[in-house]
Amino acid sequence: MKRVINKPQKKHHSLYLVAIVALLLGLVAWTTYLSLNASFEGTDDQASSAIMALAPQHEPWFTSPFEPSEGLERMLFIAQGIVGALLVGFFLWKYGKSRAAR
Amino acid sequence: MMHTLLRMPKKMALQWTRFSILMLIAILCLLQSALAMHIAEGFLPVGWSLFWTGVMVPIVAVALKRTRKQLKGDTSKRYLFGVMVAFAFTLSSLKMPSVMGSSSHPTGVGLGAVLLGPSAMVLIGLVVLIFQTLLLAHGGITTLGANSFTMAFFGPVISYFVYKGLSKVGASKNLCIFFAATLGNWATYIATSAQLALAFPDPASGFVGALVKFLGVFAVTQVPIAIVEGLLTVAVFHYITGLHQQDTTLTSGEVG
Repeated sequence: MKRVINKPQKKHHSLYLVAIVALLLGLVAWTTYLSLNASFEGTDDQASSAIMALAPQHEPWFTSPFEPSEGLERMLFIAQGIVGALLVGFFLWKYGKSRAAR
Repeated sequence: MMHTLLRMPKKMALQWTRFSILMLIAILCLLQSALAMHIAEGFLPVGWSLFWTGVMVPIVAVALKRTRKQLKGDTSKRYLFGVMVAFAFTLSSLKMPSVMGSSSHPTGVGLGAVLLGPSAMVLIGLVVLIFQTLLLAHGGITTLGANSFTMAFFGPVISYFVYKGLSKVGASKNLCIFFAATLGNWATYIATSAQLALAFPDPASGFVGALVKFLGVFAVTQVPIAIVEGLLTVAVFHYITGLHQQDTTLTSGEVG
């Protein structure tokens, strides 16, 4: 397949940028919604269980000094998603501007 | 039509449609895919924790030197670096439930590996992992060496070479970046399973038996996560390469 690189169109680009940020924010909302409605085990926890099965005598020799509660952990994940999505938009915008200035 | 709705040229809309169909087929074929998960705090024996940390120290030192040189005096590349940090940061917050009642999250390392090169990705992956360890108690300080080896080094390196290899045989850009992201993640989880199997070989079947067990944990969870990560990576990649206009040199990553 031959790739055709289109000439830049300002409007198309800014719309695209908004769409990417909206998509990321939508995903943050969606994953939060899903996690509120179902409990599931992370693969990290599953791997920990598998270790316990393979080596029952093994004890974790270090625990994190900071273990957020479930509610707090969820809030932190949401905050990470929102801040991250906005930063993606910001840096993409700045990047586009600096490319255009060349 | 879609192209008028999205204000994109008809040709581009057509490419997108064709690409979506191709990707669906690819996903159906792959059926088990990728992602990164982290080894929980304290779970790796002391010796292995130290070993992987020791492995990562020179890698980080080289990556730091190369990335500093790469970004020096290049403002737009610095912004691109910012995009990659933010992208990996956002994607690793997306804890997605998946089949088998487990969850995991994408990592977003493939995009940066292709656009900036694996060196930059070592630093980006490390930053994201440290953040998750300290603020979310996800992963761990003692397992940071092992986790960063898989997610920040091994995965991105595979992404980078998958992209280069596929480009060489003339695959479309969309397919190149999609498989780079997907296989990079694949590699990350295979490497994590191997790390765990090395540290905890099965008493009866040894390393291989344990590897199969750990791969079983990670393999089934990945399908929907790979779809989302692949789509997002392609969308952002399209945007960035669209900005490059005729200048396609940067899309082949950091040369040399």
